[in-house]
Amino acid sequence: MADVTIAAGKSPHSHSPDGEYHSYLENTGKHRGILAWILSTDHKRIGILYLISIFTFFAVGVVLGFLMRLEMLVPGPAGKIFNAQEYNALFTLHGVIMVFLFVIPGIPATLGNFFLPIQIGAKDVAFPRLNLLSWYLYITGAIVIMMSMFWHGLPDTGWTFYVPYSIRTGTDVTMAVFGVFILGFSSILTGLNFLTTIHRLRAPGMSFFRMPLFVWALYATAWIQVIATPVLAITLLLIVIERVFSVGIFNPTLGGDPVLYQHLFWIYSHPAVYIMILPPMGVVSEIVTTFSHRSVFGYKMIAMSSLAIAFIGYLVWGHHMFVAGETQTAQFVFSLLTFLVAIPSGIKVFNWVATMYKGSIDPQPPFLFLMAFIILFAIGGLTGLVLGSLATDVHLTGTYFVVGHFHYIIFGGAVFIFFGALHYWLPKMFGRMYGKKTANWALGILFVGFNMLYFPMLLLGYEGMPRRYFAYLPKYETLQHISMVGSWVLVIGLIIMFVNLIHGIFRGEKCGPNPWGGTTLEWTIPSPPPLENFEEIPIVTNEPYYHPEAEPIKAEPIPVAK
Amino acid sequence: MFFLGALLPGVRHHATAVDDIARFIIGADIILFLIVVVTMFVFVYKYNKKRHPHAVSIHGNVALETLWTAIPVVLVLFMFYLGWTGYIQTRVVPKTAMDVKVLARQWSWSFQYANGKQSDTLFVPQGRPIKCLLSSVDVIHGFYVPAFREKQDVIPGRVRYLMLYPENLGNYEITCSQYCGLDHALMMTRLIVLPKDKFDKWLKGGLSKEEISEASMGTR
Repeated sequence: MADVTIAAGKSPHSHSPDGEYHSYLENTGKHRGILAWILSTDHKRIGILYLISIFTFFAVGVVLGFLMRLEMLVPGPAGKIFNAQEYNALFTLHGVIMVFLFVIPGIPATLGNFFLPIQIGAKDVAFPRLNLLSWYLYITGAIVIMMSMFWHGLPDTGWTFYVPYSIRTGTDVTMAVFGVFILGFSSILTGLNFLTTIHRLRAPGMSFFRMPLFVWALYATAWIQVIATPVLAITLLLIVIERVFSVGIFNPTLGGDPVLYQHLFWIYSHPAVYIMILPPMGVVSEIVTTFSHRSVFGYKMIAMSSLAIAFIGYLVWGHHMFVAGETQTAQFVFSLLTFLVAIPSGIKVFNWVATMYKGSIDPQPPFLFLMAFIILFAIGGLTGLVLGSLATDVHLTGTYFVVGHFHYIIFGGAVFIFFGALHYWLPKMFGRMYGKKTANWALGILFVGFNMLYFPMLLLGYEGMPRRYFAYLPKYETLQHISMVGSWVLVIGLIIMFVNLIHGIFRGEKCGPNPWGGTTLEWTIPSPPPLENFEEIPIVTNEPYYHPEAEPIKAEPIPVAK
Repeated sequence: MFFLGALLPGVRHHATAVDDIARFIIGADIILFLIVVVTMFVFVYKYNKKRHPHAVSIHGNVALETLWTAIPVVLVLFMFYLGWTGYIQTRVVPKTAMDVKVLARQWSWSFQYANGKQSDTLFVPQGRPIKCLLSSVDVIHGFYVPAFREKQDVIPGRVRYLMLYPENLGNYEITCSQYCGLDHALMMTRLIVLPKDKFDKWLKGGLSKEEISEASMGTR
């Protein structure tokens, strides 16, 4: 702790005058144009490839969700914009695209790819070519899923593909699961790559407990990706055996058990929820400490709670099936574990708020996104307690309450902080700043629209409105309409936010290497980062969030180098 | 206390019990939410860089962190206990229970009584526990009676059960809560609680339509 500079000696780019280094955005290889991107093994370019592809699917998913809300204009069933079949296709596509093509790859594949190596002082991930292969697998999986969706007409199974409905309907569930399986491979390879990178490529002095908390979150996520995803392969194999050899596994007409399918589906898909939420939690830790200008409160507690969530998160899948006819023993255990997994998440929230205590808070756009996250994530987490309790879950499962809860966690939590992360790191990635006032306005509109859209869903659910209904009873009309108008407000906010960000990337004011006063390694290199990140691998001598000016004066004065 | 009714043994009106448990959890939720969010806003205001230009780093506080781990653990264990006890009392089948077979198909419900009578509306006598035996001829459906806060998936090839305790006369909706295809949203019927004598008359086929509609107008 004696030496307070992050990199011992000179900073990596100190001897190259401004503008003389080669940023990763310049083409220096043998390829030109689009080939220079899709054949590049640079982790930063791959991160951007993911960013473009993922947000393309996000845009499609938003349009589908918007149309679903528009369908609630009249109770019906008469006078509807879409008929039942079309509505069923809308929610199926919305779910599949948002879950498998947007949120699961989400932050790790985009910003994780870009910043993980930089934050631990490495020049790239451990296996750069495997990293590019992951992106190709992602695109292939996306194409296969899309083909399965449209092969036999519009899909109508819901994103969960529950048998036996998915067997009886025309949708090709085998191909859809195959697509998810390919995406799973992409996910496994990214996870393996990150694990290896974190274990092998940390800069000298970067011990595990000096890693930024974003890296810790990616580390916990990578373990889930590697361990939980293979269950998809087992499921696929069983589906193929059933289809090809007519062995009754899931299909009750062959003597199979449809609930077994639900178990296998959720053994993967529940940990997948933690794949979605852990990386955003890592981002929160970064943003809260940077803008509070002080060290994070309870670093080890936050790091360890990521691992605890990853571990307990494996063991709670059964809470999706409380009314599917589980034994009472299973219900007891799954309900208990579900309550216990709430604890490490709660601890994290307390630690983040405590990190603001006695800070010097600069409420820039990323920090305001973080505040929105804390509010929305708290609502999502706390409504989860109502669902974890058996007596209330029996009433609420399968209703709008679950839809509202899930969107508070994943959209209000994970995706809002994904937006916050873009506002935090885009200036680093492109060296330009977006309009900050516009960003704040966009957030305000998003926040209002979001709550208008999803809070009524919690109320509708408690009043007994089941999900996946294209028509509803007239008594639900007012709440449905508030929710629908909320979706309009939300979309306006999204458009303003993305236009502002994209404008910032191309036309924004140039910003220096460290516009926020961050202390982790990415802020020590120029913006946009040089091709190889560091000219000289830094030597790390401090914890990641070391603000020398904020250190309390101890009995023995610490020499502070300026 | 407003929530303790949920813990009293012998609570029969399950809907009230569920609402009490929900009220307790949501009440605790609101308190936790306010603690976190108000604290956050106070910090953001008080420690804004304008008012507080020099940050102080605090790396942690073991006592505080233990406290805010231990209290939530106790709280969620209590919530778990409430949910569990509230739930298991709905799984007990009293000897006096009357069996009704519930058959789900795409996209309608039908109900069969011990004497062979079939109906597409579920008529039950007031005050007698009903054991619904659920089965499906095609895909998975969800038998959901929102007013009773009760739900059970209906799995083809299996028979599941659900207990109803019809205490008050009335006319309640039954919906399908597990997505089952095209007309999932329209797979609805009614649960009508009749006085015992009227129900017996109906079971024997002696209740006229006017009497049924009159009887089902009872208090909700």
